[in-house]
Amino acid sequence: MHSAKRFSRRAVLRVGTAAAAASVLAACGTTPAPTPAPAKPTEAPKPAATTAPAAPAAAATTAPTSAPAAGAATKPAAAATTAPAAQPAAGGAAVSLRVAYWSSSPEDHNVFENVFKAFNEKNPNIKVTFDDVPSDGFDTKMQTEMAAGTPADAMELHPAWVLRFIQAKRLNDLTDRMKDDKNLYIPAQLDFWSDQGKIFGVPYYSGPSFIFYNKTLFKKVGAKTPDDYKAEGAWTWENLRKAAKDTTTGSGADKTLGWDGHDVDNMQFYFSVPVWDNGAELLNKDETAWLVDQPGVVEVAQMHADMFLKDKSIPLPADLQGISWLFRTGRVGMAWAGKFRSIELANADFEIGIIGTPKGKTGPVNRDGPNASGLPVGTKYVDQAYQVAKFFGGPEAAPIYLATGRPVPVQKALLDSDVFKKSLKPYEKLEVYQESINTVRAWRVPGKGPEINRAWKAEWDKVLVGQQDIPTAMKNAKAAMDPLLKT
Amino acid sequence: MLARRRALHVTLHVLLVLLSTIYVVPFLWMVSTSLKLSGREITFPPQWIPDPVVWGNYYRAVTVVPMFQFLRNTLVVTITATCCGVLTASLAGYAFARLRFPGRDKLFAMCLTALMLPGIVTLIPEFLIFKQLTLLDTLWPLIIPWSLGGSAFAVFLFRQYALTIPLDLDEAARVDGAGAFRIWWSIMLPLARPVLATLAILSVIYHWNEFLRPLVYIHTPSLRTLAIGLALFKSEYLVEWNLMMAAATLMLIPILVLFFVAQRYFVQGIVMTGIKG
Amino acid sequence: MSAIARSRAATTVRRGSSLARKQAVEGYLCILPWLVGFVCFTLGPMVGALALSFTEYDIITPPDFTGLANLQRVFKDPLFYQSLGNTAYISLLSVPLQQMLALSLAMALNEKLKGIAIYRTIFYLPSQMPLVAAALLWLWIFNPDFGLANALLDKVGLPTLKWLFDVNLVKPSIVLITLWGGIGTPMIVFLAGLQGVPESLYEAAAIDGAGAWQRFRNVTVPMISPVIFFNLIIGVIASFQAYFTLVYTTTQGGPANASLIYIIYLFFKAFKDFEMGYASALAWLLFLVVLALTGIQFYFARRWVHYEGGAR
Repeated sequence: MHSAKRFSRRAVLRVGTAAAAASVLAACGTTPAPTPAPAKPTEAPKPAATTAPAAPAAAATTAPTSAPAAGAATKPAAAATTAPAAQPAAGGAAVSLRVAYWSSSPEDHNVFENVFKAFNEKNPNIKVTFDDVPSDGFDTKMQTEMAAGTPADAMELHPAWVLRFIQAKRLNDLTDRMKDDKNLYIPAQLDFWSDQGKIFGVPYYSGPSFIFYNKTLFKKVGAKTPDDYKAEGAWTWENLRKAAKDTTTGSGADKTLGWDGHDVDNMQFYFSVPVWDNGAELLNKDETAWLVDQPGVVEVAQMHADMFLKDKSIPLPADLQGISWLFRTGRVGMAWAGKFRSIELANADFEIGIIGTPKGKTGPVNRDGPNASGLPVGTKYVDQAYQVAKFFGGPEAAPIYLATGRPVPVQKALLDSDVFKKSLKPYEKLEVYQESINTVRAWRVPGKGPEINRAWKAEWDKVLVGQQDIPTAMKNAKAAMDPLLKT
Repeated sequence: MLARRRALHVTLHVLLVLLSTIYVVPFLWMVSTSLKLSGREITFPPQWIPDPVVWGNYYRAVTVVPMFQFLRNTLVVTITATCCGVLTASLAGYAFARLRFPGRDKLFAMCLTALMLPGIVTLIPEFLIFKQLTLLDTLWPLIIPWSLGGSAFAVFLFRQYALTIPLDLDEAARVDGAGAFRIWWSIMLPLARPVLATLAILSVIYHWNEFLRPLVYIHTPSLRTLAIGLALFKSEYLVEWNLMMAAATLMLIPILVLFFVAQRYFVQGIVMTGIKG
Repeated sequence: MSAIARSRAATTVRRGSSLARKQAVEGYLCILPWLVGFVCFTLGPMVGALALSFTEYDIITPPDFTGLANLQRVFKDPLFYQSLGNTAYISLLSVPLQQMLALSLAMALNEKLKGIAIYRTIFYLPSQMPLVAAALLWLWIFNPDFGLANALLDKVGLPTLKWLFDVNLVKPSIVLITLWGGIGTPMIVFLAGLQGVPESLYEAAAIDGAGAWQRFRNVTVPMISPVIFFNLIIGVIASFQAYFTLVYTTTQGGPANASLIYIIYLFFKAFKDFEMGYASALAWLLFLVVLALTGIQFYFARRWVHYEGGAR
């Protein structure tokens, strides 16, 4: 009687079978016409890096989009691969580049803009367009563009996922181009972007770890400060725990917490440091098996679990909901930080101290969350893009970029420069930054990085909600993460 | 009868006031945060009335990110996609409800399946299609798919609504020699005003806040939309809460006004009076 | 009820074949814009995703055909089951609650009350707020130490809760948020539907001595049943894919995967883990589940959905 009746079963089922039939077709390898390009026959994965299967197609669409000023740039698509460098040198039309980075705030956005503007002024025949991609969608956008063969000319790299792009051969090998420039950089800063002795990224930002502490709070509870310990030569993880306990007071809305070290569920960027300081390792030498169930690691994990659950000196993830950085509220004794945090403290209503990473059996060893520029395979103007990338981390951009107080320099010469010194706020200390960047150990989670990180976090979650103890968690983590080392 | 009605209304008022408090609290918190000092958005205990009140956040929010430029793009996309989408979706919905043609129900089932596959996995194929059409880095990928038939949601809703309208009306028009388009235009659309208003509102809100497609398709800064602008206040480690909430509040106001105006189409009785003779 | 029966009888009409042909042509013309859009921008990408589900595809290099390997893997993947379970849990709880709340609100907001426009606007407000901002606000509300939720519990003398960081509470907490943010759309759809119910039917029912509940049961429900049906179909479909931004911004699937809903897992696989092929397989499995649920609903629709003017 009603149309919905007849429609319901048969029609829906028939569509279902049609879909199934289509799937069989697809399974046979005959990709139907509307199916877009990704199912193209796999090219022989020879030296794919430089031949760039997608390059000719890419030229057709990237050039007009990024070159409103230079129509001429669209024509020599074929010639582009042969002599891209000679062209602008001959004084012809300007080359247009699109570079994709994410800024961390509107102010930061302007800093990027100003860096590229300064570059344009020095290099009138290279026009740079800044594609500020919100960090929430950065990887999605980069991957989609690569799939379509239309990547940006330069893109921001992050150690959390750079290996994947290197191993897929989607980033240009810069080893030869950087032959003469290599020595400018702090070696660890290059290690983050290297694989098998080859370099794939040009550093421009570094944020090695150190600690901010709340002097006002320490004074209030009358506890020994980290600097007091340091003066005694006893700035160790053990004493950090003691200081954290001392500054953990009150409850409810009056609660203060000693140590904002909740990031322990982040292996690469946090947990690694106390483990290394303890003289232990997270992974075996050839990166085929996790060592997280070994005594040296379990010990560190146990100390943190105790600080969370017994001392209650580390905030639980629940306490941090909706807060980007608890230290800023004045409720925390000591907090792990990168230099960019110093900007957030401008309006703080308490006195701030700064100190390096504590020592353990060895150390201090530091982690870093640096950034570099990668030059994706399949673009036309690699040489020009390299110039932009080099400019960014170097002395010419320093008065704009380094002066913001956000990064620690990536080039050796800049560590002592006036630009860097002038970027420091009263509560920052040059020697803390110098020590921390010089003790950085470059490490990236190998294999299926994001998945490993999630597995690690899930095991920690269970510890923090009281579902399992540390030895079990570490055993489970190893079991979950070992298979993920193979890509 | 009247007394009972009044008693009902008083009870309703009490219930609605209580419930709407819960619904409005997050919004008030958003406005409050938008007026706080940088770095002082989170305090213990929570502060409802900011001290000091920083009106300047609103000025900064629209100037540090070129929000007015983004607004223009968002308006172009929203208005075009909504107008075309509502018309074509109502046309298709009307046909699925009222006209008989071979394969109708199968096509309608296909229409519904569009809603069932998560967009995450169709993003790349879709991107490649727009690359083939050489429409990357334009506003078209944000407009075209919705201008052709709105969304399956819209087609389905209009179909359902059309099915509740008595058949006698178009029978009478048919006898007078009216074609399908005439019936759609002069009978269906006027009768379906509430549902058209609904579809328009939903479409506007969707395009107003859409993040993923503008993110992926647009590179040129001057072509960006408001939702992307809003995301620029937030990065993984740093969030400018006050500016972000100021921008979010400003973004909300136009659609709030739109809804306030459009809701008068939901008035009992206007539409159907006189239909049942 | 008698009015409905009358109109049903009136709609039995026979037509000639030339008229049928004309109507067929008109029908195709009417759906043409939609059909073009559907084939180019929906069906094409869907088939593309289907093809990818039989490949290993890391997005940044061309896909490798691997046949049914992804499917075999899915059924051995504990997170597949867990995320599907989490989603089913949230759907089962949120869909009925949302629909009931939305219908009650729509009926209340359909009364001729003073200030009705303001009430309507307030209840629709959450649906208009940018999702990221809304999600962040709920994080603050649920913060155990200084959030509004615990402050409220504390005030009335109840023990405070961990909300989103409690393995058992995280899903109900999310459902709670969806009751705030997810009822706007079904509510205005109901509201639009209620406009189509002729006042005369209520008057007739009142004369017959029907009480409020009977009027609701015998007039409102049958008259807006197509719209209820619409909301149910859409609600179920959406519940399997919705809440992405909400969960991604608040818990990211934690603690211990307790809020890892299907769509989040799918996204992780697609764009974080470089496994778009596997993600496509996951997506198509979800498609089949949702298709089956929708088919079942259409099957049962004949028992309760009443169409005043359906073409047959």
